[in-house]
Amino acid sequence: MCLAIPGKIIEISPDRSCIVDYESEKRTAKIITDDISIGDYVIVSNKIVVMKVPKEQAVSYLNAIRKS
Amino acid sequence: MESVEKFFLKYAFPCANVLVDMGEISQEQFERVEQACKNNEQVSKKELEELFKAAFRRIKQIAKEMEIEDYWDKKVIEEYWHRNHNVIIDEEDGNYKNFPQSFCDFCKVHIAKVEQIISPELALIGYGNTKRPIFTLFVPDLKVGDKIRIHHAYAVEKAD
Repeated sequence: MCLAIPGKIIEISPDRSCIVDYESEKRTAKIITDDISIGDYVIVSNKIVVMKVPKEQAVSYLNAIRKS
Repeated sequence: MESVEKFFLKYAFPCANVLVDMGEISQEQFERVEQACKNNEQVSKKELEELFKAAFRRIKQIAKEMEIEDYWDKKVIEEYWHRNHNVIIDEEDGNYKNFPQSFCDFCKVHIAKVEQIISPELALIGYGNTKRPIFTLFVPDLKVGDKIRIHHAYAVEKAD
């Protein structure tokens, strides 16, 4: 679920779980790598953060989806 | 020996995630293939062709170019996933033209090296400057140092 849509990380707990904001909803996920911080846009699959999406790419993609 | 249907689905399964997000296949269809993958069951050729229409449009074309009559020949399916699939992404065919560049890279098949086993389901892999976690569902016996082909966030098969 949500594999094709980037979400924004708004909170990270000490145990590396995080809250990802998809505008319409928020979901929790687990962070594995150490290059992820609050404010990053990420792709989540099976509740795991599997990829970071550069901010400008994520924002322009989300804008494009909103318009369609 | 692994059937060609199972071989195809190992690579195609992550795309099903994307197709359901984009509304091109239903949640029920997705759950059906997800269950099949988890239980190592086979999905019929007919069903796979209905789910992954764009892939089979290209696979049929490859079979013609390779002069192989049966497009379900393992050589054709392998040519698609090992080579042709990435070329199509670079040419921005179909849905790919709308995806951000980083996501297109994510959609490609890469040969990566296993750097760390995180849990029975997860491993950390690296290729180029990229390091990211992948699910080991299809290749459960991974070891650090193994070279594998990955697609999206999944290990698909060992590469040697």
